[in-house]
Amino acid sequence: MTRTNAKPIEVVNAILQHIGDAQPQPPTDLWTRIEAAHGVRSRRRRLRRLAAGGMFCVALAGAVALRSLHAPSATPEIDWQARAQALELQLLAMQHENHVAVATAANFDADPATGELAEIDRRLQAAYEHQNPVSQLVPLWKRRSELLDALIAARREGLTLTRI
Amino acid sequence: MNRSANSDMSGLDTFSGFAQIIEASVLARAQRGDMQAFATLYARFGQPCYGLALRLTGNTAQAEDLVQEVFLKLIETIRSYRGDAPFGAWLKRMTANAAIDQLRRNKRFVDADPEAMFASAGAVEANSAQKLDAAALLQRLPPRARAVLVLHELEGYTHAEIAKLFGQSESYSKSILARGLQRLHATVAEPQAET
Repeated sequence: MTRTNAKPIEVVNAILQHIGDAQPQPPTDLWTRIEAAHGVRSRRRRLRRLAAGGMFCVALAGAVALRSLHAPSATPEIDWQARAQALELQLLAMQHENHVAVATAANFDADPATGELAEIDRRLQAAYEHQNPVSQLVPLWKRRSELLDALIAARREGLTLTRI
Repeated sequence: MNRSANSDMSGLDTFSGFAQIIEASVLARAQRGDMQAFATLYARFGQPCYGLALRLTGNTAQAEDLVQEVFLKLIETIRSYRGDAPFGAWLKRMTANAAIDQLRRNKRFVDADPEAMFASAGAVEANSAQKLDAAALLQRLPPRARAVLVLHELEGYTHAEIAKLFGQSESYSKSILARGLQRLHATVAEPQAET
């Protein structure tokens, strides 16, 4: 590359030719540095993923804890309808075993509790027919459960007395 | 005027630099994340990648950073390489893009006005030794002008491609190139006037 007696344009062309032909070598340790940087990035990415996973777990645990704190009661809500139906089955089984009269509307006059039970049944029927909201049904099912509980207790007492 | 050994943008007219053909098995291994395959790719393309980076940035430290950035990106994105273009051409474009991104990140060189760009870079006077040093001569150009000149004159990019890379118009690319060449002509002409 010489400038002597050459026009600037030729010199520039020669310079560009020189630059284009040059094959500068990268430092010998460049690949080692790239590998090291890749290792660092990979580790960081793994750590970030772990941290994100950990944070998700903590957030989930927090959400569950918060939900249980804000729940209306610590115990799960009672399904009074299911409970009443289960108690009714229990009562029927007891009555069948011991040949005791079944608590139906037909014999409700024999016991004040069975009378009230029949009344609750009528009110429940009416509530369902009028498509009343659940909030109005729940107290009826609850009362029905309580009555059936009382009846079962009474029957048990009666059975015990009989055995004595 | 294209002085690159790799004159075709597809990079397959010669078998050096970015035009090297890489075995499909090496690419497949790299796509599976095999670091040994990446070492092979670096052994083949590290030098052309560094050469281009150095021509574009004019600075060895920046060129090294650029090569590192390009190969780290390659490791992360090689799965998306479908073989539509030759691997070397793909890597070359990645290198050029990374260099231009680096120029964009440097706020000093964001100025899109060629007048202002050349005015701000005009104060540096080259000494006689520098005028004989090709790399030092290129260093006297504003970074964007140097990149445009290298891409157009040495790497065979068209003005349309350069305009797209820089997010500017073709006339911007043409203007920068003309002024860059003019600056180089003036620089090499100076000593003749002195003697």
